[in-house]
Amino acid sequence: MEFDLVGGLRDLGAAPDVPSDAVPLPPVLVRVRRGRALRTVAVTAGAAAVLAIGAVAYAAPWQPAPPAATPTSTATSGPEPEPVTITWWVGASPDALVGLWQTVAHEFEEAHPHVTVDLQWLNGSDPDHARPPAEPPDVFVQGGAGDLAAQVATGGLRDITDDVAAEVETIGGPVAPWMIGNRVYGLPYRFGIEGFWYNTELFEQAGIEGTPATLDELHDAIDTLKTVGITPIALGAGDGWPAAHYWYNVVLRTCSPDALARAQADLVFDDPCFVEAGELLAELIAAEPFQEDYLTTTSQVTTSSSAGLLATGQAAMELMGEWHPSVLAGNLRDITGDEDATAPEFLGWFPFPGVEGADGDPTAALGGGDGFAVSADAPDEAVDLLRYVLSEDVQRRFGESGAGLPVVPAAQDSVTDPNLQTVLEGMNDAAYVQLWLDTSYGPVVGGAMNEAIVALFTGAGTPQGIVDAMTAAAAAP
Amino acid sequence: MRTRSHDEPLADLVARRGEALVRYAYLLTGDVAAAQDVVQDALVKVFVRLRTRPDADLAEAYVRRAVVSVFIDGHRRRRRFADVQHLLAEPDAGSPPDAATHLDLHAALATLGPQERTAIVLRYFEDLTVPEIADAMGLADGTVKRYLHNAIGRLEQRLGAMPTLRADDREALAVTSTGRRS
Repeated sequence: MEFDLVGGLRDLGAAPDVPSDAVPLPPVLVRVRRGRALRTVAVTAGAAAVLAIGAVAYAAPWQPAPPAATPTSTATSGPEPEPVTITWWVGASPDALVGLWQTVAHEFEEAHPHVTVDLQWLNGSDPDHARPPAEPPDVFVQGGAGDLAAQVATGGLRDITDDVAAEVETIGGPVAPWMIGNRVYGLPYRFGIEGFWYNTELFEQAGIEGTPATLDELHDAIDTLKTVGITPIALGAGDGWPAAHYWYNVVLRTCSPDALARAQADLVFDDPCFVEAGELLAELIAAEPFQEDYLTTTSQVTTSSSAGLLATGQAAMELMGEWHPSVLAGNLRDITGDEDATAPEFLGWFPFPGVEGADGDPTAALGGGDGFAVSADAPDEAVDLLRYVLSEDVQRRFGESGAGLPVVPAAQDSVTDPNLQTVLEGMNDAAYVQLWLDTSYGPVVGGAMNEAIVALFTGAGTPQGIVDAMTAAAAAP
Repeated sequence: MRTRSHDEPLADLVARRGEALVRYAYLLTGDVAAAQDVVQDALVKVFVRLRTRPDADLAEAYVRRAVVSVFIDGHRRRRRFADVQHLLAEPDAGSPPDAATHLDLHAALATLGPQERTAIVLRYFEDLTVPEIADAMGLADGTVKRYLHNAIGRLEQRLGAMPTLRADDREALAVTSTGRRS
């Protein structure tokens, strides 16, 4: 006897009772409109701590100065423009990225013969690059959000809105943290979201199929890994913020987008979803998934950091942003002495698990980026340099370097690392990207929040205590 | 605020092709309500990201692709394949029904993993080539062939021989099957 598969599929598709209005338009329309609006990242005007990536956080000794009363000379169309030097401060950057910026600086100089670009960067182990420049630079790293607001408030940043309209159109939503109202004061060159980087070989060894899609499944994976003697999760709680990010990610799952928006606008955290997040996190901590000395372990720089544990197969997972593969590669270079070491082959990525039945948008992601701003008294050529950095050509080379995800969509297929491609897909699929909560809420609330979250990890604090600390900080004069 | 003209391509697609899209998704999900959810998610996924006004056929092609990825991603997230693992055990040694109908096909498809089911639907309903299926599912050609081979094996066990199989799928079977079928 025989069966016609093609005909059978046709009949099957035609069979069920499907009304002609099978897809009601209004809910789809609402979700599409919200999705388009929420792709813009929410920003507050409070001053904020910028997330330090790589080397130890530093405080720049300067603040960009407001322009002098008489404007400094700007580029003119005269026959021979005056020689100009642009200082360009790129902050803490992995070697590959410094190399790219050096090339970009040389190319810009060649295209503008009267310009000299003085590139400066931070590398803690190199005495020539151990601290930020003494004088305010012309083009410099700017984390956005509250950090931006503080510098705009002193008049130190150039309003580049009219100069970079094309770039803003191209980049879209991720520009939002570098804007105040409708004015643009900087541009991101990278933006990414956070998730779990994990060791696919250790998962296989433990017999774990797939990756945890819910917190319950994460608990299962933790139990399974402990049974076979593998440390489930590496955590550098010694640095504070890596522990805090756990709470941020659970909040994103327990709190509806509306609750988050309200909390951000008013700095009021009385929605029960915030305490619920703390309770779920307390459960996770109680499962003891971390390495023994996690409270004092650093997260990134040293070979004994939590990143080092993941890189060398001593732990199965670590919650980190899209910069992590290049951090892991750096760890391996230091540990093995092999200059060409790259991120481990066994590396995989999955988004932060969901919480069944909770109010949060399951596709929401936590993230942030890096950008550059221009000093208010910088020469016009400084803006041209910024625009060159954001050109598709340079963004492609940034993507190829593996140091992160470019923000220019046309350059995004330059990302070849399959894990970074997964992160990129996760970011593009996210209906909502929430900036790191400490950046979003400002340093006063953010600082209190981070301390209270760490207290939860040490056992000295409670889920309610986190909300109380944030509320008290927000109310402080 | 968006103007109405901005939403016309979406409204038009939903009105003209909503039912057809749900019937398509039903082949994958086996359940109408789940199919409606998948189509809604696929429409949102596509139209949130579209920057320019799409051609109607192109928009539908994007949405059909998104139906596949929403379906697969949904299963990857829920790891439901592990739950239906027991259904993949060989069926009882009785002979297949005398005249299998699309209802039997519905039951047979439910015993396949989501990737296998998707490969079958894309091959025999959408009429795609193996490279096209590989592209739509984000897999290598060889992986798609393996899914098709396994799926066809299971379907034939439950439904009987299938003459409308493509010649190259049957060739692959001839080379790789190990005498499971009589």
